Amino acid sequence: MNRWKNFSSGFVRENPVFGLYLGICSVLAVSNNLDNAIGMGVCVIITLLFSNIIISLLRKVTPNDIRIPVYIVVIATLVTVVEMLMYAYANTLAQSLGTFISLIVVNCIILGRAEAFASKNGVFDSILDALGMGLGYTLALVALALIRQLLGTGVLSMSNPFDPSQVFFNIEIIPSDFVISLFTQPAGAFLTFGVLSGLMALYNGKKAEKQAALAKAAAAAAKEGK
Amino acid sequence: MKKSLYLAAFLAWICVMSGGILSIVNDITAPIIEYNKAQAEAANFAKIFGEGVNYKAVEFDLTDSSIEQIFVAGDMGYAYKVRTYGYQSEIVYIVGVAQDGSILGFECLELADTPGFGMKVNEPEYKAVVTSSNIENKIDTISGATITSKAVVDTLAEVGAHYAANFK
Repeated sequence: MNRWKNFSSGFVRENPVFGLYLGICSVLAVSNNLDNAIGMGVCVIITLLFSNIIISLLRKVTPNDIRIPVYIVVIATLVTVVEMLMYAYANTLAQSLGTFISLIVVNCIILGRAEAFASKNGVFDSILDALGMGLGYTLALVALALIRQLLGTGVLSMSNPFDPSQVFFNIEIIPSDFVISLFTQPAGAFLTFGVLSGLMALYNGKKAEKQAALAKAAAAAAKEGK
Repeated sequence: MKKSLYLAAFLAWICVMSGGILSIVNDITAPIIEYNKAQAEAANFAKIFGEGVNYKAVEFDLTDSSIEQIFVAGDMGYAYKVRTYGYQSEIVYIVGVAQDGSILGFECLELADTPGFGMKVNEPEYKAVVTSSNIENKIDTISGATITSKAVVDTLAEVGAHYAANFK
């Protein structure tokens, strides 16, 4: 139960993007279409997974005084490896993500999870945490990308990152006369992000209220029973 | 003293491990990346001059120039390969110049700038601006992506100077 909670908390309650507000810069920048969103999400999941594993394995031998430099070296190495692999095997995706791949190094989700979780917990828990947080980040990116691509271009499309000529689907939903191209621009990213994180806060707030009411009722019942 | 030596040794050990991993991955991926680049370069040359053009490298002597290579593209004109530095990455591009100095095409081979800003120099709108011009004219920069586009415009001017001096 506890493990499941630890894994699933990254989706909604502690969603790194909408709950903890981590790594927003890259989220706003690459959420302009589904290909970029999913590609970036996968890169972050891979980096986060390996960095959590390595840092968790090293947690007992890493001297406390230099833990941050150690994390940075580990994360930078992983990101460089991911970047080289991307340029070799998923060249088009790498070209369209541009500098944001190398900027995963300074994505605060990864350093944040290393410091807050992997450095204090075992390997298995750290893997769950990485997957939960990584998927939460990807879900947030995909949600933003869906809205922005739909409103901004009217077309939803996705292609194989390893072979861009292979298109999975390409559906025109809104006729091109009625699209709002603002949504493909940075300003559209901010607007969409604001609305989504507001809704998320509303949902979390309602849930907390409900729980508080339940706890109150339980306390009252216990008192009456006395 | 002993402790700081230990800390330095630990960090050095981590760095050595990281260097080892990086060099292994680099060994595996470097040839594929090179191949991808060569493919992209051939495709971009074809985009500017069409298929089946014979490229002949031209010897040139320019110190302090961003121009890396010059080719004579059949009887269509000249191709310049230029390397410069934008806002946060190297830019390598080729520009095709016709016999009369009009720009036939402009394609970036390497560019890893910010999407939505520096990346704009490789988007159709800006390419249209460049290709509608003559190499000897001054070409506009992009507002909001001034540093990257200025690097491109300044090096295009170098190409223009070289064209005017040698091929005109």
